[in-house]
Order: sequence, then structure tokens, then C-alpha cells
Amino acid sequence: MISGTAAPHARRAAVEQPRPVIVFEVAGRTLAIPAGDVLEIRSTDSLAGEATPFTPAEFPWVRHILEREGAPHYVVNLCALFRLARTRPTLVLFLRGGRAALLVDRIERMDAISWIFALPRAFRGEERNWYLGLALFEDRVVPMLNARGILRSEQLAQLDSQAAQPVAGAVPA
Amino acid sequence: MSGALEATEKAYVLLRLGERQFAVPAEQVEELAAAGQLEKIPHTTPQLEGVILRRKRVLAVRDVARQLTGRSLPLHRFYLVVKQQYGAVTESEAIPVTGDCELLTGVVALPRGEHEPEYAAGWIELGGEQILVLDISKLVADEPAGAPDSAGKSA
Repeated sequence: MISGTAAPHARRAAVEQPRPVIVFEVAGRTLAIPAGDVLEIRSTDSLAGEATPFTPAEFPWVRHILEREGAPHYVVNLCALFRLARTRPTLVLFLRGGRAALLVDRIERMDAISWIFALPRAFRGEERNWYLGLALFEDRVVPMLNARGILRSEQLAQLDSQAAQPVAGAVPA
Repeated sequence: MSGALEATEKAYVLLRLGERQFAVPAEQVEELAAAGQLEKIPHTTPQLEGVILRRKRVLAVRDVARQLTGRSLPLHRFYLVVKQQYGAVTESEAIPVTGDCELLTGVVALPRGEHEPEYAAGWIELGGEQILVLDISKLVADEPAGAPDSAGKSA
């Protein structure tokens, strides 16, 4: 996995060799994620019958819950999380080593990067969890998603608790 | 940086935000750059509009116009690149400004008044007009709590 820790002098997070990343689009915005953090890419249509609408009030960006390998997984709508214009996502990225899946509009391409810029310290909100840093693709700055920062462990615990009481905690998506 | 201005001659950069002029101590300014490609990234931090790539660095773009004048700048013509302090670390940030900036040297600033906002470092007089000297670091601290973020606004 690409480290988000920046070398203080250069404000860059170096990696030893180019690592593959998946560049994708959500509501017209381009984002990227280390390919190693993605376990599986499926179409949203393939979730039919498997995923149940699930949107706790505290997590309005969570859209569905589904069971995988005996554990609840949560489908996150990135448009809602990032407060972008609503779109019709076509793909779901299941993340490795976590229980989150991300709805995205389309995969733009695979690429490889050797380093990323640290997120400027001016950014002080939730985005510090969302991103490993900022990647540069052909003079375009693209946020690199932190797979473990979209749904953090404490949030997963809250979601699990809500999922255990679906009638009280959930509203239709 | 301390908000207090010493009563000695210093250099200031005069900047324009819409119809109003402000001044920033010159030692806090790196350069004035023509507006380049603003990259909007989803975030929740008030004031920030996105980032720009400048001299192989990624700089946060901070719109202070809304805080200082009540309205954001519709058009970024230039970025004033300033030094912002985060604890022991200094980072550069870009502030959109309306037009050219001017360097004033040998200016003695008047101290800030008791009831003026924290981001006011003092005043300078220019052609009979009093111009507010900004303490850039206090502009960050004075961010309105719960202000709407810029995530989701059109690029």
C-alpha cells in the first residue's frame, strides 16, 4: 500500500517503485485508489438481490448492506459522502482488508505512480481521513483515496450496531 | 506570526479583493502568480476552494474574500502565494486576488484597535485611505464555525 506519510522536506510521500492505481470518476470528479486496496470490481446490477437498502441517519452516505464471508459489508455512495451532484453509479469497488464497498460512476484507467503529494495542512476536515495524499497525472492533481479512511473502524462498529437493529436504526435508501 | 505590529518601517504587499484593498506584511508573501488550473477536490474545510500546482508543489487555495468582503471572488485573476504557519511548519497557500498587487516599502503601520477582528494586524494609510493589514494566520483561526464547505461545488 502507498504510504500517506510525507517526507517533511519535500512534502511528498515516496514509494520505492511505481505502484498500480485505479483512476475512476465520481460525479465528474477524478479520483484514484491504490489497485492493491481493491479486492473486486463489480457492476451495480450484480448487487441486485444481494444488497439490502440500509441508510442509518448518522451515515447518510451508506446506501446498502450485504453479507460477504459471514460479515456485514457496507456500500458507500461517494457522491453522497463528498456532497457532489447525484449520479447513477455503475460500478462497485469492494475494498481489500475492510468491509466497505464504493459506488463509482466509471473506471477511467489503470495507471502507476511513484509518489504522492501530502495533503496540504490547510485541509483540516474529514478529507484528512479520506485521502492518502494527492497524485499528479499529466499535470492534473487527483486525490488518492485511503481505503481505510472511508469507513473507519469506529464507524464500522457503529454501523454494525445499527445493522443489528435494522428496524430502529435504518430508513429506506 | 504575532498579530501585533511594531512601530517600525516595514514593507507591505497591497492586494485587492473586489472593490476593497488590504495589506499583508511582505515577509509573509512569496509571489504573485497568474491564476492557473484550479483543481477542486472534495473536502469539508471552510474557505478552501481546491488546490493548484505551482513550481512542482501543490498549494491549497484559500478564498478569504468572503470572510473579508462578504462575497467570494467570481473570477480568479491572480494568486497571492503566502506563507502560512502550522505549528512549527510553514506551508505556502494561494489566495485569489482580483488584480495586480503593489509592494509598499518604508511604511509605518498603526496598531489595531481593541474591537477589531483578530485577523486585523493594524492599519496603514495610503492616499488618505486607511487600509487594513491582515494577519494571515488569524484568518484561518477566524474561520466561521460550521460554514458550508466547498465540496460539491462545480469545478
